[in-house]
Amino acid sequence: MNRRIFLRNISAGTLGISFGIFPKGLLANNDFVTITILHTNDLHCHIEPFTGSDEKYNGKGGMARISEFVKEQKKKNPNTFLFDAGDMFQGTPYFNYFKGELILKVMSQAGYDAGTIGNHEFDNGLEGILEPLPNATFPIICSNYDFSDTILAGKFPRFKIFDRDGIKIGVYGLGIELEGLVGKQNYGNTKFLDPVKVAVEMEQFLKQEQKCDLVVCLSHLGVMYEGEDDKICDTKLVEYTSMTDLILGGHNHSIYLEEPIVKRNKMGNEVIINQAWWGGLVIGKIDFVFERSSKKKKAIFTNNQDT
Amino acid sequence: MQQTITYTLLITCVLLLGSCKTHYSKVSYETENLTVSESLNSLDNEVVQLYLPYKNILEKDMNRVISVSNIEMEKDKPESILTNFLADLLIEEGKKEAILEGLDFQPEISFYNYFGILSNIPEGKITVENIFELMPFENEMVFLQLTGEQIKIFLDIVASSGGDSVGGVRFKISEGKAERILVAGKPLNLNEKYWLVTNDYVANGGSSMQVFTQRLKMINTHKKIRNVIIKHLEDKQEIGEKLTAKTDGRISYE
Repeated sequence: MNRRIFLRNISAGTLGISFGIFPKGLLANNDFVTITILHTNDLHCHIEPFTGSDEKYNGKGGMARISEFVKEQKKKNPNTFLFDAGDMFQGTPYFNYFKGELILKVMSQAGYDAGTIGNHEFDNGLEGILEPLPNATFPIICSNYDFSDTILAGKFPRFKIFDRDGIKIGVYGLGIELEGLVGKQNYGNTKFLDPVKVAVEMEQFLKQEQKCDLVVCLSHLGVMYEGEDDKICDTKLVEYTSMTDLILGGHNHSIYLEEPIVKRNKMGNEVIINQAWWGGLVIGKIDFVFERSSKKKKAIFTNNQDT
Repeated sequence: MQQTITYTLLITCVLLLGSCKTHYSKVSYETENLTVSESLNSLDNEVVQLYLPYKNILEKDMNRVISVSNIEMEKDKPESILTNFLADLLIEEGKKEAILEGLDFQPEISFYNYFGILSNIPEGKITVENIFELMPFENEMVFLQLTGEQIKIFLDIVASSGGDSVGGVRFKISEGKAERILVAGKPLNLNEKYWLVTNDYVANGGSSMQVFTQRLKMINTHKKIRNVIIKHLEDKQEIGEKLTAKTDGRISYE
């Protein structure tokens, strides 16, 4: 289905230019590039597959399985990323016994490219974040927690730009309001900055200044909340953004998405919002197909109108 | 055939505009949420080898049987066997702790937030692992001194949420408020001071308990609630006592 839409869009984009015949072989593969984004959230230290009598869980998940899958995907397409949307910590005795050390080691081994900070990362206080942090070989991105007055100052980049085959992918991260959710002594002098304001700042910076082709938000705000109209969440965030292409969410485990939510942003463009349930039980996969074109050929830019 | 034409046209356009700086445009996407199960793929042995030594340490401790329960305990609202069991345990252990530490009071009320209780206590053998599943959080046992008025606010919040894990008190839920409150069998006195035993998460305002941040005093025992529970069960096992609990109407609807 998507494939068909893709081809139709290309034909539509090139229509009208009908001269010049060149052999097919001239078309190098790099006229099209696929960026594959794999993602998880709320791993909660579920390092091993789940056990128990509940069929929804039993035998499912497991970081070793995720790692193997990611390896295969990276083999198929080297332009594959693995992201996480926070709450890596807390949930199994692996956390109680080994704090954040093991999950960060395992995630590093599994090839994570970036993660963000969830509220449960604070469960052992700021020290409990600082101590295991060297075990993460991937950046943990957070744009709206200001740690400058804490022991975590300078530990978390506000964004990261990846360049793959000339395609720039800009990633920023949004954390949830800590007050009332995390004990004050656990977050100390961490300042929570308004996620909407920060998102707009970050997307403008990444898209306009840094010329990113794809802007990804790793969010731990929660995809949506029923009956809580005032609470900011991913589906509400898109109403204020205009350059974020993809929001990878987390926090609210009760949300099981069979497929991502597609919502229009402030400019009327489609934004994909996805959450991969929780605990590594689901892995989200989003392929973006890019076409090489001239800056003047903006007309090719047909967003997928699924009809 | 159509594809050939498409590609041809594309090359044309690329060449025509080749003098401009090329960039990439997003033209389509595909999405899929995959269940991570056996059918997806096998396990990455490198990852398994990485966590195996940790797993061995863990399993040795986790499989230890620390108690036997006569019944399966489940949580429910307004009260339940499990929520009552935990609240009563907390008050019992809180009292012991206060004596042990030479404190000049005994906690009269206990509270454990409902959403911090994550699993059942099964019937039969209870292992350390069961208690980790029940209470995975690193919360510590704390004492709070509150005014009678603050106790009323706290119990109103409990009432409005339909009940919770409380000990030492009895009350009726009437129109979402706590009414006819008894503390240790006596009516709540709004001008009196009371000591509450709970966890540091709610003491710091978690679970909508902002009122606890207004407390008169706080004493942190720095003992993890989970360890307090494990110790409690081990002590009972030592004297050959099986676990049991019941609902007693401490929270009911008017």
